[in-house]
Formats: sequence, structure tokens, C-alpha cells
Amino acid sequence: MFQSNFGLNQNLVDNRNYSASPSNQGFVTTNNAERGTVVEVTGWTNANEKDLVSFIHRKTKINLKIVNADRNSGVLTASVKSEKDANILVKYNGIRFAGESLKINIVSAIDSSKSNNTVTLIKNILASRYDPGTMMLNLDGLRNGMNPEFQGLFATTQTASKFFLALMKIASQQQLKVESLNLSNNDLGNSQKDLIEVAVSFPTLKNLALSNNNITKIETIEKLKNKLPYLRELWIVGNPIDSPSFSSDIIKCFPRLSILNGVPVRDEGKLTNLLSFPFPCASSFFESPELQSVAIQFITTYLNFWDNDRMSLLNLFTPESQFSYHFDTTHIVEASSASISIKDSRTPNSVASSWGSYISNSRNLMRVSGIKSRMSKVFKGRDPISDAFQSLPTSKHRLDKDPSSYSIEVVSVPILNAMEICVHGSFVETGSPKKSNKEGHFKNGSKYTAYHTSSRSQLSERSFDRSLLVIAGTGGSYIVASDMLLLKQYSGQGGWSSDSHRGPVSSSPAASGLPVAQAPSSAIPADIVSKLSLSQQQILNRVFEDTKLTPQYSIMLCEQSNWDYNTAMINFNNSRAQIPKDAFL
Amino acid sequence: MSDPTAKLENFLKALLKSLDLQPLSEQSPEMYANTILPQLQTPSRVIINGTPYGSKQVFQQTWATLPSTQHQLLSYDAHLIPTGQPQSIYSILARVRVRFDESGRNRLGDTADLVPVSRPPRPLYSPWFGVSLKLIADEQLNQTFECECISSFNYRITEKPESSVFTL
Repeated sequence: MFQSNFGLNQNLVDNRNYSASPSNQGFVTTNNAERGTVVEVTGWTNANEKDLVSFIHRKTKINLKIVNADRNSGVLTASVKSEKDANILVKYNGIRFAGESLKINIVSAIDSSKSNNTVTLIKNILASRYDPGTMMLNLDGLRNGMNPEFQGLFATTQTASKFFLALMKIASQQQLKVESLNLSNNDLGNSQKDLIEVAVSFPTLKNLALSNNNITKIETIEKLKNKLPYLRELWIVGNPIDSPSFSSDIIKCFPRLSILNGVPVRDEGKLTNLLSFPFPCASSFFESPELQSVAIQFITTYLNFWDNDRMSLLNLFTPESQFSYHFDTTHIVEASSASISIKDSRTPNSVASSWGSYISNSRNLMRVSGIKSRMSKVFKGRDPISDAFQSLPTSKHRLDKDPSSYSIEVVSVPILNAMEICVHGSFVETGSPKKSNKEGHFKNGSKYTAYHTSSRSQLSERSFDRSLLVIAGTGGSYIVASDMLLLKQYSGQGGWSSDSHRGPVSSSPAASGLPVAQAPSSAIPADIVSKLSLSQQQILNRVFEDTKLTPQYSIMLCEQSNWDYNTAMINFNNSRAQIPKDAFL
Repeated sequence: MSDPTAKLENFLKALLKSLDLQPLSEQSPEMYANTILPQLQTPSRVIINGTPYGSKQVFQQTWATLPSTQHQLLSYDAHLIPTGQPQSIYSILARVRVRFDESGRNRLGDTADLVPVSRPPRPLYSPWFGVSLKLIADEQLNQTFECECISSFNYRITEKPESSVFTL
């Protein structure tokens, strides 16, 4: 594909036609009043460029605009206002400056109107040479096919380099999606700036042709090391570095390079496997369909009450239940800038200001040592857990509105006759804690209590991992045996965000897809659910799932059974024959 | 009263070390795979990025095909849960970070090279990925780490760097 696209200068013919295109006529319009000229000066290197400009102005009253000053080659390229100025300047050829004789040559006349239109010129080049279908930008032989009026832009390697830099930047600004870039036959030389700009502008480039560009140094290519992580095909034929002795060094620069000069150098399929996590990624896993329906409803309800009526959750806790939380400030990945509030991005927060509400009872066992301290930070039984709940900021999860932002895994724990629910995602803090850490009997004996009681963190968005061990109680109720919460700096969408919800690879009946959207119990109208207590919701959902009755009949059955699951099921089985057909889903 | 969580940090570090272990020259691939997370019970619930592995052996053999990895334990918390039986169980929630060798070679030395490519022996690590690790393990680990004590192992990559060549 690349060979055919990047073939032997097939586009040069098109390039030559470029200047004759009616759409480009506007660029060749000249305005004599605005003509300018490029000059080259040598013999100036005993002083600096500013001194030269001052010297020339002092002697000739002509302003030099420096385009490029290269001390290695000793060539200074500059423009002057007009051809007339350039001719005056040439008369000073040989004038002594800083102990040397200056040599001044006219390189070419340029058109200032054209200079002003360089951006437009570049945009038209991009429009004519970019193929959105193949996502290919073909700049093969661009300098050869350029309208003669613009040849001044390629008068020297330096000016050509500046032109290509500008072109890459504008292409990047236009957000052109470029997978293939042909820069062959442009005499780029060893200009590392050009290539680095290529990598900056098109970091996801897959195919790159640099043939016939007089690249002599391997260092030029090595400047791209690890900057084009997706590059799979590279052409460098016709360059001095196109030598077997450099192949290994070139291949090492590009971790996904599979084809060099049309020759396979890596097995692409095998390489893909070597650079991919071999375990398929699914956003959710449920050990069985039964656990799926129960767990989804449970965690949705649990987080809903956590956000809106946290104290109601205490009914799920027994004297043996445990709750603890900890935070970790390690910064691993950046959240996308769009997801960070302006306030967050401007405020370099200390740990105290960011995590003040959490510090005193954070149970990161990497940092908390000593049995007394460790035990004081795990809350056991309703009253301590109630205090702990109230010491945390109020929050808002989006599990119901944006389930793809969450990941969930549910397995059974046979030894406890329980299920373990792990949920990962984020929440927004909406208000300060309702109770400070020093109130009541909370945190007795903690050495941190006094210090942190007044510390309240700025409200922000947090990422989290949470694990719940949930035991089936009597009458269709549940008991939370363990609730562990890990808080992290918000890091945007999780690692599961781009997956395609693949199914399991084993025979396990895992479910895939979005947890909430697929919950059958979502058929129960929200206005009905909102009028019920948490335990009533749980019973209703179980009855609804197990009987396949409509929400209205499920509620009727629950009410007639005094909201006891076992009674409801007995009543259902006893009267099943009399239940009308339309009572079922 | 002794601290029931006293040995967990070393236990977690031992687990992560086994995930990063390089094969020895004299080890066959099968022998090497057996050294990866030997603490898993047979059978156990192994969930990697939402994908279940009912077989300990399949998990180990798949993990053995990874490039070199480097795990670091960042934080953890744990509850000791009574079971009504003599042995209680630990519910452990940990935050870990991991990075992967991006040099194009896995830990068994396989590459995709079709032409000779000289490589430094050291891995060229990716940026860090964030991992949530959730374990259920028997109290037995307090006696020895060399026992099949993990009944549930849930490894979820929660943060992935944009600049990584290594992909999920």
C-alpha cells in the first residue's frame, strides 16, 4: 500500500501542475511596491548577528531582517525591503567588519505579498496534497514542484527547513489526521528540527517516507527515537544512511517498525502480541447471571444512598461489619485537560489542602504502623461506621448516568456465602463532611485527631476503587461484612474505557457490557423506587427478578407479604395459577 | 494482641515479585510458569482486567508470555473477616503500579525480529500503569507465604498512560 502510494515520484507531475491551478492564482499576484529580496552574507562570524545588522544599517541605512544565521557554515541569510536595497547592499561587498571582509550575494527576490500569504499557500498545499481517505499527506518533491514565485522559500536548506516546520505546524493546527507522510525528494539533509516537528505534529504516524533527502547522519534518525511509537513502515532509500550497517540502529528507534525500505524487518503480528497485554480487557465481570442482577442492583442502590442518604446504609451493617478507607497521592497518569476544572488546574495543592478530610483516618497500611493506630482506623459496628461516614465529604457518583465510566467485578465468596463487589470509577465531592473527626467518640486515641480536626479538603473529583463483601441475610436482606474504599487523584477515564466489552475467554458465564444499562431491574420506575426504603428496594428487586412479574404486581406482592422475601415467594408459588398473564413481563 | 495485618505488606510484595520474576536459564517455560503466583489456590477465582481465568495453569502460562514487568506496591488496606470456622480470611485492597518492557522482547526471550537487531540486555520500560489489586486470602499466609492461600485474585489496570507503546 505504502509502495504504491509513495512510488517513484508519481506525484511530481501533479506537483508541476500545482502552480497552474486556477485555485492558486491568487498567490502569484505580485505587487512591485512590496517586493523583497533575500541576501546571503558571509565573513561575519567574528561578531554576532546583531552587531552585523547594526553595522549594515549604520553604513547603508538598510534594515536587514535575519532569516537564519548559521555559524557552522558561516552563512547568514536575511531579507531586505526591496531589490533596490539589495543592489545597494551588494555595492558594499568586501567592506571590513570585525576584522574580516563581508561577502554579500543576492539570492532571490521575494514577494512580500506572497510572504504574507505563505500561510495561505501552505493551507492550499495541504488541501491539494492531503487525502483524507487514506489519511496521507504527500509532500513528495514539494520543492521541485513549487511555483517559481515561491522558489525563494527553498533557496537554502535553512529556509526550506523553516517552510517545512511551518507546514507541519499548520497541518497540526488543522488537526489533519495523518497516518502516512511522504517527505521524499525534498533535500531535508540532516535537519533534525524538521523530523522532530514531524513527530510532534503527527505522533500517531504509521508510514513515513524520507527517501532521497541527503540524510547522511544516523543521529538525524535517532533523534526520532521513541517519538513515533506507531510507525510501522519507513523508507530511507537514496540517503547515505541507507546502509545495512545502520539497519539495526534504525529499527531500534521505532518500536513498532515492521517494514524498512519495503523489506519486512519484524513479524508484525508477533510484534503486536509482544507489545500488548495478553489478557483481554472487559469493563465488567460477573461470576453468574444471578450475581449480575443482584450485584448491579445492590451497588447502584448502595452508591445512590451513599450520595443521597448515607446514614440509611447503616441498616446493612452489623456489629461485626468493617469499614475503612485510605487515599494514595501517587500520580500515575494525567487526566485529560478537558476533565479538570479550571480551579483544579490552577491550584497546586498540598496534600493537606487536597486530602484534609481524609488524612486523619486514612488506613494506608504502607504508612500506618503500630497495631493501635492500625486498629483505630478500621471502623467496626454501626456507631463507629456512622461517624466515619459522616466524616467524609458528600459526593455524587454517575453510575446511573454514565455507567461506562465505571468498571465492576463480582465474584462469589463461598466460605462466607457472600459476594464480593469491586467497583472502580470516580465521583465528585459535593459538600464538606457533616461531622468533624473530633465529634462524638470518633477516633479516640488517635494522635492525629487534634491536628486534623479543622482540616477540610477542597472539593474535587476523585477516582476510587471500592470493595464490598456482601452476605445474603434473612428475608431477602443483605449484610455488608466489609467495605474498603481507596481514593486517588482523579485520573480521567479508567484503563477499561476503550475496550469493546469483550466476553470472557473461559467457560465462566461472565456478562459483558454496561452494568446499569443492562440491569433488568431498571424496568422498575424510578418514582416507585424512590418511595421505598433501601431494604424494601432490595426485596422488591429480588421479587421482580425471580417472579418476572411486572413492577406493579411485584410491589403488590411485596406489600401483601409485609415486605418479606420468603413470604412473598411462598405467596407467589401458592397463587401462581391465579395470576393473570398480563401480570408477567 | 498481635497485629493481624503485620505480614501483609511482605506477602503482597512477595506476590508482586513472583509476577516480575525472570525465568532462569535452566528452567523450561512450563517450570517457569509454575513459579508465577504459586499462592493461587487450585481452583481459584482469577480475574485479570475483567476476564476470568478458571485455571491457575492457564493464567500462569499466559502471564509467562508477557514482556518483563516491574510492579511497585503503592498502598493497601485489609480487613480480617471471621468465617465461622477456625481460619479467618483477609480481604485486601491494594494500589499497585506496573510498567512493561517495550524493547520488543518477552521475558522468555522471544522477539519479532526478522533481521538481526542488537538490543541492550536491560528492559526499556513503558510509563507506569495504575493497577487495583483485590485479593481474598486465607489466614494461613501468616505461617508461610509458600502456600496456596489465595482464593480470589482480581487484577484491574485502572490507569493507562497515553504515551505508552505497550497497549491493553
